[in-house]
Amino acid sequence: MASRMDELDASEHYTKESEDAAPVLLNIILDTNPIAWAYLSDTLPLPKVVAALLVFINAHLAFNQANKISVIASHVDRAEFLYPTITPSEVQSNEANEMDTVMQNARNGHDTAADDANFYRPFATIASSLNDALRKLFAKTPPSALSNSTTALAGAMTLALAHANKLIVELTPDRSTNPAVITSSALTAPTALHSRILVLSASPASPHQYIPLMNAIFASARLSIPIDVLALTPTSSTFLQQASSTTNGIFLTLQYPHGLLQTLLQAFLPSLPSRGYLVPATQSAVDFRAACFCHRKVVDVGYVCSICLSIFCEPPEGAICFTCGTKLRLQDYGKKPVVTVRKKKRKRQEGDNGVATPSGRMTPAA
Amino acid sequence: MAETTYKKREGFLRLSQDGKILSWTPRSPPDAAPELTTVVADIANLQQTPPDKPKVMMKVFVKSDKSVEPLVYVFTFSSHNEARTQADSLRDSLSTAIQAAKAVSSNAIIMGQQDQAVSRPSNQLDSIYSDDQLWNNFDLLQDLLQDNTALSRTWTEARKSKPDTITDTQFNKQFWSSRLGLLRAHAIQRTQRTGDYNVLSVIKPRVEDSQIKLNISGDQLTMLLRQYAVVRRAYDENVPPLQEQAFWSRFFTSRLLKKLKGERITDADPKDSVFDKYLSQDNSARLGERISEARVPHTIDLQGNEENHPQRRGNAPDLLMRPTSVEKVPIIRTLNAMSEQLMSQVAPNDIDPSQPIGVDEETFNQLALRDLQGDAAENRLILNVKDQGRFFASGKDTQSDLNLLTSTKTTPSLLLQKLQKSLVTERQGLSIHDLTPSLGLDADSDSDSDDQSGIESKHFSSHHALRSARKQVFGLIKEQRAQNEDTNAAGTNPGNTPLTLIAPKSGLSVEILDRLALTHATTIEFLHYFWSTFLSGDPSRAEEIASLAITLDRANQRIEAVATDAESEREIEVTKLRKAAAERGRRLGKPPVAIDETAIKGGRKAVMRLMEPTINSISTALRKYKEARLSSELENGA
Repeated sequence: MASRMDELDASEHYTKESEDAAPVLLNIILDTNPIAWAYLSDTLPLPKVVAALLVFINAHLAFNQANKISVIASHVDRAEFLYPTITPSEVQSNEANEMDTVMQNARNGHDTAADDANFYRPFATIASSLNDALRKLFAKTPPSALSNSTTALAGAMTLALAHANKLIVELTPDRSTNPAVITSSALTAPTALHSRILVLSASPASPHQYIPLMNAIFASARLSIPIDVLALTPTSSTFLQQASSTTNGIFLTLQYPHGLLQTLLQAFLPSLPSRGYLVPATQSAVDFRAACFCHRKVVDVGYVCSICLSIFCEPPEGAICFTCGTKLRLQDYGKKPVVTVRKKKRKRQEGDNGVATPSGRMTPAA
Repeated sequence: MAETTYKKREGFLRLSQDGKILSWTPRSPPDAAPELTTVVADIANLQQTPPDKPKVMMKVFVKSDKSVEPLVYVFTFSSHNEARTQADSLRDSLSTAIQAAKAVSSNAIIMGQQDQAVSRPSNQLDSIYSDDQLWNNFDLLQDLLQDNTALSRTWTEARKSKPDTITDTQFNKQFWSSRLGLLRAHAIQRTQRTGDYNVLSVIKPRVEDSQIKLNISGDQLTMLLRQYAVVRRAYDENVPPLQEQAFWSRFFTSRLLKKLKGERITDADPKDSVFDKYLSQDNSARLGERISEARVPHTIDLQGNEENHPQRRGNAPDLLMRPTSVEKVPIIRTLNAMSEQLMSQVAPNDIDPSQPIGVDEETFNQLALRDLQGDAAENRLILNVKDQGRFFASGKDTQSDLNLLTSTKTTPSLLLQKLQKSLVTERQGLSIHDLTPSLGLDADSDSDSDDQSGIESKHFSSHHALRSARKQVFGLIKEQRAQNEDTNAAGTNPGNTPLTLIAPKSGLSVEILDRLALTHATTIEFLHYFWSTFLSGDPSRAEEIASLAITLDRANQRIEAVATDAESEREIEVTKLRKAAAERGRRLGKPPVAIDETAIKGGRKAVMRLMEPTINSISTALRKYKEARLSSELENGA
């Protein structure tokens, strides 16, 4: 006699997801261009910034046990993960069990790190590994690398996005048959992990990186990953304002360098779900300039190909777009405004009074 | 047939019998073939010298494929006495022939259009709603202006203040050129028709003077015949013998009408020989139709599967819709069937047409058999992107960095060393995890002590610094909040127009704001006009530009006028306050309290603040105009 109690209870309440806040992954991109930091060394020396950052990280981790963090250094010629890192010794000994690797990570710094009883171990771990990684990064940089480039911001953002994607896919309950792809249903379903990116930028972004940077911005807008930016100097933010505005992030220029910790904790700490209820402390004016595709000049008003939307500062030769190869029709450009009635016929001159599409109003397709 | 000279040679100009071909033959050699032939259909134009001139000539313009310009043939009529008559008769016959040819061709075009009407309806729509047609349609313009009061105010105001040198048509063209979207939407809205409705429910006979009268419009009749196939059949079969009047009056008193309306047929109803035989036919006809159209195999019958409730014994229609022999409440079936038929002609608006019927996308995806389907076709367009490497080249952007480098006055290697040292020194001597000293935070120190020391503490994270940082963040939040609040509040309370929301905050009254909004709209309109003519580089519009520059000046003056009015309003407020303070002072016996005049918002300052961007744009436009003028004068003079 089968009673009802013997049937499998597949009722909803066992599979209901917990109402607790979903964990948040915070990716911090730290601009480690040594030139920029040398420039800033009187008002805002790097060690103090790292210290403030550590307090911020601790605060973030304290909000939720499952919160995660990752710190990426955007250096002069590359982007690297400062935390979490895998040391070469761990890579070799893949078979070693997890305990060893954890201890290995902790022991990278001074031996006292893991053993200091006054400090909460996860905080201690992060602090020591971050400091060590930073030291190593600077030790590895040859002086010759400094002369040529600015910070590799686009690369760092791509790293952050890849890391976020990996974690989201790991933690989201698998709903489709193809787990490697984030389907739209996975995005709209309650996600297991929210993710955001915080950029601490100290050097002006190179216009050469405009295209990869915009690609990264659109990708994060698609994944609903807000990009918050804290600009440490007033000039260090050419394209980052667009990044925040597109992805609904917060953009702040640091006005009082000594109050860095206060700014960090007050404006950038709230997690993603709570941002819906708070007014963001972001700057209202956004610099929508772009860099032209041909010369990497920063342009305000330019020419845009109607097929592939690539931006030019002046009409390309032969009116053929670089990227897609379509022949473009130039309508009414270069005409000089005629304000007085002329008696003689003159050649029409091509000045800079052409009719142009202001690229300031160009909105990204995401 | 006429004697004519063509290119100084004599010959005869003939129109063929059927009026299709015009030919000219030279007189010598005799019996020569016609040298010049044109098909009459190709003749675009005819010209003839006026009757009072002695010389009689005719010009024929022929369309040709080779050149854009029509070919011209000039014939001089050289008969001695009858040149004029010949020319006239030839001209008459030619013109009739041309008309005939044109009629034929236009018929052909119309026929062709009708044939293609089904396949290319969009072309016709394009022509109805093309830009030129839209703004030439004065009727449409008037209608839209009547509908949209804000637009009409802007239009009348701008018309009033336009400079006199700009004609009305130019002004209209410019005004509507940026509003074609509105026009098009309005035009489409006007041509919308109401959908079908059940006619029988509308037609009700009236009783007048003990006579039953009924009014039906032609429209209703056609709808009636379309919706009820029975009536149509009855009509077709009976009307030649029967009169129309008689047919309809008998129909509306018959039992058939009652059945179609769904009312119960009692024995008291009059029997009608003509209509009663259709009483029983009705059902079977519809049933036959339904059966025939429902023969869809079950596996692919989406509609049927939606209604399929296996627990309920198969795919029969809804309980109410079953054909039963007992006519208990026939109205339900009739009404349902009628509604089904009417609704089938209307596009559904509550379902998303891209979704599969019946199930939502989630379940559909789960149910779909994916393994057996091939790869989905890639719906992407190929962009031939050349040489992508250029986009990602890091390039030598040395500008900014070299500046930084030289300003710090170090070499790269020294720099690195310094940085490394700084990272290390901070951690020596202390437990690395005690960040307090490096952060400069001192929990015990009071903010008061900082202030009393009188100097701004320079150390990191001093209280002063923290306070200022806090203020900065709060300032940003306040700004954001102010912006968001406007948009939010405007949405929630429909009684609030944007003007009533701004009014209390800026201190200006609603009338001033109204005037300001109007001035703003007209100013923007003229700025548009100015820039489009300025940048077109068209020399013929140079005078327009000059007059527009004057208009922009006037726009500035108008803003000034509004500002002065606002100021006077504010003055009234201020005097009121002053009087009140004096009153109070007198009553209390104390000297009047000084009032804070700056607390009273509004006035010229507020107006200027609101209109600042507009004023900037006007001055930019005027500046550009002056520059261009100067440079052109220099060039002209030089």
